[in-house]
Amino acid sequence: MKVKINGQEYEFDNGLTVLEACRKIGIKIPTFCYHELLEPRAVCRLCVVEVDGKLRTSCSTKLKEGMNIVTNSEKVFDARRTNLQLLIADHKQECLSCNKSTDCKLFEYANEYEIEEIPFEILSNENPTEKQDVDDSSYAFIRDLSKCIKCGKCVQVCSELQTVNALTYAGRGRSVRPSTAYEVPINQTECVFCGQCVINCPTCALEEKSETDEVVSILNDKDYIVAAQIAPSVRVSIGEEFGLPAGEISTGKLITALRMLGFDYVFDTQFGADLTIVEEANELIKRLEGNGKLPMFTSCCPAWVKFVEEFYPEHIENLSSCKSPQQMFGAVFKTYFAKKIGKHPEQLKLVSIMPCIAKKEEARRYEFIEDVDFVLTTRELARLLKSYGIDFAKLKEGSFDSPLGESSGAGTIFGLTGGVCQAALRTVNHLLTNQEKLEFEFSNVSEDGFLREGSVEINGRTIRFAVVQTLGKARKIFDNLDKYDFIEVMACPGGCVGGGGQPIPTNMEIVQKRIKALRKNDEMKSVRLSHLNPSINKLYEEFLEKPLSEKAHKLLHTTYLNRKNNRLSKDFGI
Amino acid sequence: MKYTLRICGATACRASDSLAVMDKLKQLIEERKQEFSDKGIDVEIKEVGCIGLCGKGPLMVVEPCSILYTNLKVKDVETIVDSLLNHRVAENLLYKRDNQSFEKINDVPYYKYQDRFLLRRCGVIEPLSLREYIENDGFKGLKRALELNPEEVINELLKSKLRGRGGAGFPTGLKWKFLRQAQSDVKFLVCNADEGDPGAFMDRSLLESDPFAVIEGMLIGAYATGAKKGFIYVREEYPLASQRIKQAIKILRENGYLGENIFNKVSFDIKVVEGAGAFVCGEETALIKSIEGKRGQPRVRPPYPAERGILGKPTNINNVKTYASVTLIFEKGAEFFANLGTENSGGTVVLCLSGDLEDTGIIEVKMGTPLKTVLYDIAGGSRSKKELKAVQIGGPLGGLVPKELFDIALDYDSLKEIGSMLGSGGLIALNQDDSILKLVSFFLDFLRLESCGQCTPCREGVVQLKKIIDRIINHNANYEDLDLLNKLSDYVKNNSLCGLGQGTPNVIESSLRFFINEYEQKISGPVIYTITDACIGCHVCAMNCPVQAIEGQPKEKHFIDQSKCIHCGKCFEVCKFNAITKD
Repeated sequence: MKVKINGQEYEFDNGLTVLEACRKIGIKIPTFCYHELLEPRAVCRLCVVEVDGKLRTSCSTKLKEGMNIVTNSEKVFDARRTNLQLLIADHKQECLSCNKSTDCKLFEYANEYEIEEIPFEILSNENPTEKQDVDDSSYAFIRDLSKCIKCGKCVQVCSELQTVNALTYAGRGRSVRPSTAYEVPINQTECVFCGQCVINCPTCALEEKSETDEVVSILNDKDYIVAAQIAPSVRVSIGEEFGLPAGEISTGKLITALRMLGFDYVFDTQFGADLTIVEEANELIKRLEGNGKLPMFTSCCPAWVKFVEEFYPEHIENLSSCKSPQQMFGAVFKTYFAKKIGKHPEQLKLVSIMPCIAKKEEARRYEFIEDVDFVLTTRELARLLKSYGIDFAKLKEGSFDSPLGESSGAGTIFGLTGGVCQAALRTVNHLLTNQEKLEFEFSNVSEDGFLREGSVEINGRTIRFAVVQTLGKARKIFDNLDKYDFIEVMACPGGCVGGGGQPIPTNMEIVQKRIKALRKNDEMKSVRLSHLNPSINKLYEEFLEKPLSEKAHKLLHTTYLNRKNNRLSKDFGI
Repeated sequence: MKYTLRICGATACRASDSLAVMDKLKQLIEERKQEFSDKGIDVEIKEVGCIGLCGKGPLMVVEPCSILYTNLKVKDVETIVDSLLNHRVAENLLYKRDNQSFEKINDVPYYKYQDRFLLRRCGVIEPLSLREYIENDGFKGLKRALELNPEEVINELLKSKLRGRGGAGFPTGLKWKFLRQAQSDVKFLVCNADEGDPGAFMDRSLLESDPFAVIEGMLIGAYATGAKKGFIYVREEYPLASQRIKQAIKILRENGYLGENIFNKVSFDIKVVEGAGAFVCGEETALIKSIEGKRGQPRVRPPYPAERGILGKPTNINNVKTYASVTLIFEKGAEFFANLGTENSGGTVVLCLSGDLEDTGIIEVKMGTPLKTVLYDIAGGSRSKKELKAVQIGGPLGGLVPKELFDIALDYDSLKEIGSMLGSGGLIALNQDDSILKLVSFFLDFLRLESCGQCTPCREGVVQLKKIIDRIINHNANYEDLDLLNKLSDYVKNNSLCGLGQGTPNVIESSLRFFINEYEQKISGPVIYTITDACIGCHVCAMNCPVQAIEGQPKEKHFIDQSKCIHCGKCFEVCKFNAITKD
């Protein structure tokens, strides 16, 4: 259909909104509450444009033939300015000391719209409720309502994208706030710490709980040997924080940067991923042979694991008993590697570099307490590097330390949706047929692509698998579990590349670029099946004996907790 | 000889103890039943719905001579019983205006100038008596409607020029047509009884006094639109209304007026949902969410409820008075209804009168009746005998009508022209001494607290509007603030998500339009100090006054001679008893 935008004729497909159309032709429209995957709510009212002379929110207005859209009139400009001024008047302005000021949308737009003075009364010191602004009860993130602009995006992703409903609206008028039920601390709720609220928060009202200070202090402490493990998806996203294009593979630079920070060893979580696959593939084979419940769920996404514990505890047995790659790595590092370098585990400290804030909570699960010491998200690491004056883009390529730095292509694709399933099937197929099959086709893909199903015949046995993104979609699979043998779920859209700890902005376009980069990384690897990773084989030979051995069970497998109505676990925050 | 005593048992009269009066009456008549039977007098006491003159309640009407008694107290009961025994009128309980007493209810000016159609059964029948309802033309409308086919029903409704009585004034026939045309297996019909405007209580009154009429209107709606399930959304603050309507539904179900195959033509049943009393839940999309059990907050339209309403199914929402009007239309005919009103809107207007008026309560007049008829003929002008300066009409989202425009006709279009609105029909009268700015501040405070808080203009904007108004009230503002007020009102109006935010600036805009002098007085005029009754006569202010403008004997209340006052504020500073106000 034909429409006029700022006086020029354009032609668009049917069904687009004004906002989508404008973005397509390169017109930036500011938004706070808009989320590309969810239904527009049009509550921040910042995206107004003139449609046939009237102010309309572009996110919720569908294109119509012959529409006359103006995005740059005085009227539009005035409305957006007033909107921003009203919000700033009610926003605690700590921009100089705020961690997110460079990623803050309010900051960005205030600059763009040249907000110089606020004609309104400053309200940010008047807390309209008697409730606490700050909730720092979890290990994953901190909420500070004095910085909240009430766009409600956190509530929307929590309820619609993830269907967790840990956050909801409370109060009326200016007292409205995203809140937990009965205002209890977040660690006593069903929150799975996926972090989608955090990454979507336009200001610093939600922010990961930073562990950079602790990391710096152990790096400066000569008594410790400090190692880092880098999750697959971090290497394709951290460059964005330093002006590199999205999807640039910067593994080498990242390793160099970590060494410059003072890490004694830089290892790869992909090694842990390979180990996970060896264990998980063998577990799947065992379950397929009738020993254990089917379908088997992947267990590498901690948000998904907690989701099952909270909402579907009756299906806990379906979860693979394998620890996640982060935790497997930690277990091996503190035992096998400690022994190898002749150190006591207590002299070793392990810092994970993760795309995820749920990993912070995972590392504190009581089952795992010693495996990983600190977890830094991609954003935290970038901040740390900046404060150390490291010019990331100019760094030379480094390489991982041995032996926990070697990995296969299968470990790489853990960072993207479908990757764990694919990696596991590669190994299962090879173990059973001795053939190397790398790709597994999907026969059925949902409209949004978030639920994909397929099947593969291995040794006469059909393995039906499903790959799910987001917990909202995951709920759907519980309706017909019988349809599947193996289900991979990642809580974040796109998998870990779209994780809650990734650089801001993270949107589907950027996520796709990161996925592409990881795929390329996989293709570049000489070994693309986890169990063919020589370091993994050596680990089994020297230490773990064989997959699913008693020792492997002790170190690499775990148990889960029924958290539904389980007040005790909530009171202790575990 | 039989007397029937109709005693008002609706919320307003109950609040002034009408039930105690009724109990006492029953008790006394029982005690003196020998006397009554000796004289051959039979007395029946009926608890009826709202009689309408709420400001003078508790009310009672004695039939068959239709004598209205007002302001009843328990101690008056004896007088009433005596008067009945002697076939005399209790003079001291009669309605009086300007020293003249009125016996018959229809001679009382408050009723004389009304045209009570929607309210024709209110205060007359026992609200839950199906027999009385039917005797008083009940279900005539439904029967007539069922003789037509659904399309004809809708056409009839369009012909009647009925417009939604909830405030927006959208043609009801069109709304029904949209629902009829919607393709869906399930459709819902909703009656919006979430009346939240301060000073409006006619929906409550209708539900309490004539609940069957509302349900009859819904039944006609069900037949016309194909909806099989209905909801009545009542606020929890209306316990009596909610209880009555629930009982009415039960009675109708038992008698075959609700349920499957009513008159072999229509299947329809109703559920009552109680809201938690959020003003915003009167907005239809918020109301839908609230019925679904979610937090009541509006969403963007389109899609309109006729496409996507409750549980995503097509839904039609009308106000209580709209359904009652439908009943009237099919009882009396579309033409009759249309002729009651103006060219663009048929029927009558129900208003709730409050503020500085001699008589307050619920009235009904033909659409297009001049406002002054309501204010002076019906309500009797100012109660405090001051000159009326304006009325606020349409609740918090409505606007002001200044005394110069009291000739204005009460209909949707005339009021809209001057920036006010009929709204749900609340009318507050203000006299010359009332502060327009304080009224504006009051409404802004209400709207600030009742905003759902979703959208920025309403959540933040209204708070700031209130801050500016308060600065002006406190002589703390300049003309730049006035510009800011104008600009921000305009912003909130054009940028808010729902009708609540969009309507909030109305009261500011109309006060600026008609009472800019009050703003200017506060901005550039002097601060006026006055001494209140809290003064103990300590004389400190008088001793400190640099121009000897304060007079008064020790230990007696002092006064400020405004002609001498230089507005320095010294007295205000030195008073230790908070006895001096500034305005």
